[in-house]
Amino acid sequence: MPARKGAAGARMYVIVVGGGKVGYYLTKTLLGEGHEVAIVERDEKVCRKLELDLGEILVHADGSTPAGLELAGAARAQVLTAVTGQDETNLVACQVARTFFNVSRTIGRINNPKNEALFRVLNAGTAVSSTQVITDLIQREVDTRRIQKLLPLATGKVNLFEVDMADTSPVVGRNVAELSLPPGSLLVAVLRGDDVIVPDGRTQLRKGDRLIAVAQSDREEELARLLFGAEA
Amino acid sequence: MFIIVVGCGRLGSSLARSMAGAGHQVTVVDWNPQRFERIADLSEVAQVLGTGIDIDVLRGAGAEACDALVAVTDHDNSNIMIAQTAEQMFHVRHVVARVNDPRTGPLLETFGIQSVCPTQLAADALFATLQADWHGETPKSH
Repeated sequence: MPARKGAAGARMYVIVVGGGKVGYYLTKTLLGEGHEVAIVERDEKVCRKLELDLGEILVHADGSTPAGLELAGAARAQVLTAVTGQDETNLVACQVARTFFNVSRTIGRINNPKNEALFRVLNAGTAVSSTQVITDLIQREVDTRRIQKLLPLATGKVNLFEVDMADTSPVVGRNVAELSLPPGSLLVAVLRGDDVIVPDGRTQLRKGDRLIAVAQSDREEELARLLFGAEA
Repeated sequence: MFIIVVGCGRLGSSLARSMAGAGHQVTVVDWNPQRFERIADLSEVAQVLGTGIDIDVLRGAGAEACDALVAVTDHDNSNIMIAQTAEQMFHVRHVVARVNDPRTGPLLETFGIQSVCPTQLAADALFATLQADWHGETPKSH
């Protein structure tokens, strides 16, 4: 596969800690996007398996230690992502990268979604929980309300929502200016058929519109009540 | 004092035994129920089954109310994480972590965690014992 430039056009040096399935495919994907990658794996057996395929970018070391990350050249890395199967190892790897090597962007894989709070409090970077991602997807399926969380921003302080406008919505037919959107929330786009409308005060909401809104997490209920009335 | 010991291996169980013997209130946390056999005779020590790197397990063990927490699982990174959880999430006043790898010491210092490294203590003690033993002797060779 020919290397192509990443979406942002910048080539970055990324350290991947953990040579399991997630680490392996992440490394292959990042290489495919044209980035420079080092993959750090502590287990010798796993290293032997990866070696044939990944060659010189493989570093046999403990990526949760200063010595291991030194070996991987962490001082010049823009991004470190720790994706071993152990939350504690991923946390410490992110902390070591930030504290000892000033890596500004660190991403840790977590199994227990509750560890996200710890990442935040310890300023260890972004925690990614596949458990949480899958839970959210399932939740979206069973959510009878037509307001769906698309993306948490600033680690969940603010969320991006998609709202399906049903004909029973009390705001159908109203202009955006007439809505009293709760403070801490913003309507950013109206999806109507194939059109994307960036709304202003005069934009009229119609049945079947899909609204993209940003709201602080404590304003979600208020927003739902406004858009769906008692139904929510 | 109300003390939580996370990890019921040889070190954790011995520690729980000493502290309970000294009259402290002790709760031990371990994910492996078999490990509690080591403290089966200590009826006054509470046992909590669960992994110490889970905030809810620590809360259930009384982390919000404890005076001290000692992280002595077999894994250094787990101990680092447990100690930081105790300090940052539960504001436990006295926290100590055990680390096996002597090179991890400086790391914990950077993170502001008190630690004890049994490996280093044993190395120092062994060396000191030998030195006392050969005190005054002249070496056979240079």
